[in-house]
This record gives sequence, C-alpha cells and structure tokens, in this order.
Amino acid sequence: MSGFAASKAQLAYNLLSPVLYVFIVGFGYLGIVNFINIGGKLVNYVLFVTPGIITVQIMSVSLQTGMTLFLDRQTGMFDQLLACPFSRRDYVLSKVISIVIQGLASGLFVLLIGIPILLGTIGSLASLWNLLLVIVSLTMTAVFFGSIMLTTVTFIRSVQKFNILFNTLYLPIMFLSSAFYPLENAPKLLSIVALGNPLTYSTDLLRSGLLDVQTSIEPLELVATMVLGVIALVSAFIAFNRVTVEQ
Amino acid sequence: MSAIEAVDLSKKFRNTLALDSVSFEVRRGEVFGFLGRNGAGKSTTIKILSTLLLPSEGHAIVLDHDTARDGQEIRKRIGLVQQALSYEFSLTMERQLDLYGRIWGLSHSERLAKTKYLIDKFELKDSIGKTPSQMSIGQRRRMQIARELMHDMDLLFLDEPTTGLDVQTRRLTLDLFREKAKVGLTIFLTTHILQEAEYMCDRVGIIDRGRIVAVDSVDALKSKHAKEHTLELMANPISEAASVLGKIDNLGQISPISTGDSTIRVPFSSSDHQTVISEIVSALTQQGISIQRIGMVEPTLEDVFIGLTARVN
Repeated sequence: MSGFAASKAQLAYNLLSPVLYVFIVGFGYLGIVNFINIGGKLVNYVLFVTPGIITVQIMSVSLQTGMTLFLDRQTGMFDQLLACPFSRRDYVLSKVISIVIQGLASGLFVLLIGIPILLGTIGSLASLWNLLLVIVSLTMTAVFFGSIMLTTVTFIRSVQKFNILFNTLYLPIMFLSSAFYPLENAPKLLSIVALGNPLTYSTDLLRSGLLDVQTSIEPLELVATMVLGVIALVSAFIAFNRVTVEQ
Repeated sequence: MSAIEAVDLSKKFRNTLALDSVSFEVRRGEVFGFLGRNGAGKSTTIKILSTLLLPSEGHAIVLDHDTARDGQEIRKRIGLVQQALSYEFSLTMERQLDLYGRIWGLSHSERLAKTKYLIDKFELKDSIGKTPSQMSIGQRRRMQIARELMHDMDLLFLDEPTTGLDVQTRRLTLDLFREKAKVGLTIFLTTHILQEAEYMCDRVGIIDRGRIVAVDSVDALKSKHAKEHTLELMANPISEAASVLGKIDNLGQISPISTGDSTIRVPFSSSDHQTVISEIVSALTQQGISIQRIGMVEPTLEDVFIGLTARVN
C-alpha cells in the first residue's frame, strides 16, 4: 500500500478522474437526459450518475491495487515476499485489505465531492437499511474487483497479455452496467448483459442507499453482491496458494 | 549439527528434471558454496530450501524443520538474497529498507539505526531519496543485500549476490558476510566467481545437470580432483614452443592463458615434476627457443570445477 501511495501521479489521476466524470458526464448530460425514475422516485441525471461514478471509481482503484501483485512479480518482490515470515494467506489478506482501504478511500473521496449534489438525499443514511446498502456496496465492489484482479494476475506473466486483458475488460464492465444509464431504457440485449455484471448490483445498491429509493430486486442484489464478493475472495486465496515462483 | 539436510531432493518442471536425487548437508555456522553451471539446479535448490518451491520427491530439513510442512517456521529464521534484483518500484531506497524492517517486526528506533548502519556500510548515501528506476544496477543490488540484512537470521541464502557489483563493493560485501559467519551465521552461497567461493567457503558442493558431483572442503576437492599438474611457461617464440611441446608424450592439451599472450599452460599427469620440466627445457632449447620463465602453478577451484563438470558432460 505504501508503494501505491508513493506513486503521486497515480494518486492524482485517481483523485481527478472521478471529478471530471461528475462534472463532464454528470452536468454535460443533465441538459439532454430527462428525470429518471428509480423505484418510483424521479431524480435528475447528476444524482443518478454520481453513485455510478463512485462504484466505477472503486472498481478502477481496486483493479489497480490488485495489479500491484503483477508488479510484485515483475520486480521480483513476489518471490522475495514469499520468503518473509508470513503465510501466503497473510499475503493475500494484506493485499485485499489494502485494496479495500484504497477502494473505500477513493469512493469516499468522490462521495465527499458529491455532497453538494447529494445534499438533499444524504440524510437518507440515517436509515440503517440504507447505511447497510451503502457499506455493502462500497466494500464488496472493492473486494470483488480487487480479488478478481489478484486471481487474474496469478495466471498472467506477460505485460502484453495483461494490458490486452485489462483494456478489453475494463470498458465493457464499466459501460455494460447501470453505472451511467438506467437499464430499463436500454436495449434488451444490453440490459440482459448488464444483469450479469456485478458492477450493476453494487451500483444499484449504492444508488438505493444514497438516494433513499427502494426497488423490488434490492434484497436479491444485496445477496448477489455479497456472495459474488466472497466467491471472488475465495478464488483469490485458491489461486494464490497454487501459484508458483519463477524457476 | 546440520543447518540443512537435503535428502534425495528431486524437482521436475514439466518435462525437465531440474534436480535429480540431490543429497547434501550444511553444518551450522559454516559457509557452504553451491557451485554449478547455468541451469545446473542451484537456484531451484535454494528455492526449495527457502520454502518457495516444493520438491517433487525427497525432502529437506532446514533449521530442524521440514521445508514442505513448516515453511513459516523456517522463514522466520532465514534470509534470502535472490539472483534476480527485487525491489518495490515506487519506494525510495531508505523506505524499502524501512519497510523490510517493519515486515520483520523491528521497532522504529531499531529500523532507523539499522537503516543508517546499512546505508553507511553499503555506501548507499547517494541513493537516499531515489527510487530503483533512478539507481544503477549496482546500487539496486547493494540495496537488495542491505535490505536483507535489516533483520537477524540463523541462515542466509545468497544466490549470486555479487552480480553487478564492482570489485571494491564485492570485497566489502563478502567481508561483511564473513564477519557475520564468524559470529555463527550459516551461509549458503551460490556464485559463478570461483575465487569468491575459495575466499568465502568452508566447504563446497558442485552440482551439474541436477546431480551433486562433489561435496568437500576446497583443499580436499583440490587434492582429490585436481589430478593433473599444470606448468606455466613463458617462451619466445611462443607458437613454436607450443608446437614443440605438442610432440612430447604425456603432456595434456596446451593452452595459451590468454590470446596474444606469450604464456602457455601445460597440464601433465606425471607426479615427477623435475623430470617433466627437464624434458621440456631440453626440447625447447634444442630448437633454439628461449625460455623466459617456467614453473608449476597450484590448482585452483576453477580447475577442479571445470574438470568435474567437463567429465560429467
């Protein structure tokens, strides 16, 4: 984690990109997108998209943090750390904790700059249910995407393959979800694909929690988000136990 | 008492047998050199002994613990300087040392004191505030060794630790390891620089194509395996001298020490040095070749190593 924090350029990018999203995407589309109906409540586009930007931001930071394992392998630190006085389980756990902390910090930062936008609804967090939705969404987004990245990099050793995979998956995951548009108005195929995307569930949960709206599939999305997070985490542990050092 | 006991260790990577029933023992407090050609199995052995790899067959006991079962117990008491450079890409040199100290549970004041000592010892002052990308390969190597010495240990694995170091730093580093060995640290060293092994090691093991071909002290290896004697000769003209010597029976293959040099080495098997020298002098002077210098040279570990690994090949 200290390595990640020491990368000032990375930190600056992670702080600035969500701000740009909120102002460019949020306010840019405000004039052309009508009010959106979520669970019977009409919200404007900036309110709609801010929770999406928060989960996308957490996903992005979690993927980047998970990627540090790949860098550990490239710089020889993976083998070196495995020779330190802790178990592989401790190593993965420290990576996951680091991912969650950094993911949450980045998500909370966007939340902070989004307060003026969400001001009218932030009081909804007084409800325990809403608070639960927000916490599960923020945490499990980090756990899921960070763990998926940890698992993936145990199989990939070449930088080229890694870049191809990252770039191929990142944009579809981001845009084939409910982060930037309501799936109800999207083409049928798109909304079906988005329903298989964990980012959709965590974004919907955060939106419900922050905007104080209820949808019929909310409990299902809550369970799905938690189960998928746990599955991803267990996968990371298993993959990590099987990974071998360089010959 | 053994620090390491390797018993019939074998390691297979897909279709490649990297280690083939390797057995040896390293005594506590000794510096043990593990020598071999590229790909002989040195690093694989270190990775098994330091619990990074599991053997395909056989087992190893390190500091009274089985590497396959008690990895964490072993890792608490060992250090490892790997052949490949390793570093946190975005941390400055001093923070890398500090981080390693933290991993090993050193207090803040201990970390500060050790960092300062090691920065001085490894002449890393120029690297303060620099990240690895701003450091030379030699500086990164020194940082890697210094980082490992942030914590105390009973056994230190050194896999070609002086690669990339200049002569002065290499000697300084080896002396530091020798100091630590004198106070009880067991060292397992691999190197391609055989003078380094002669300088450092109490005993040496030689591995070739995954099999141990010799384990003994350097002196014992020389007396056991350097069966040929070598005579060094400086003569003029050297090419004619080589041609004349080539016609004498009982001499081995004559080789110049270096290209363009007027010195050649002549191996021979007879133990009667005086007779061989007389025969050579007589043959050369009869042909009008002037001899500037002639004498026996002591066998080196390198001679032993080349002899042993060449025979296996």
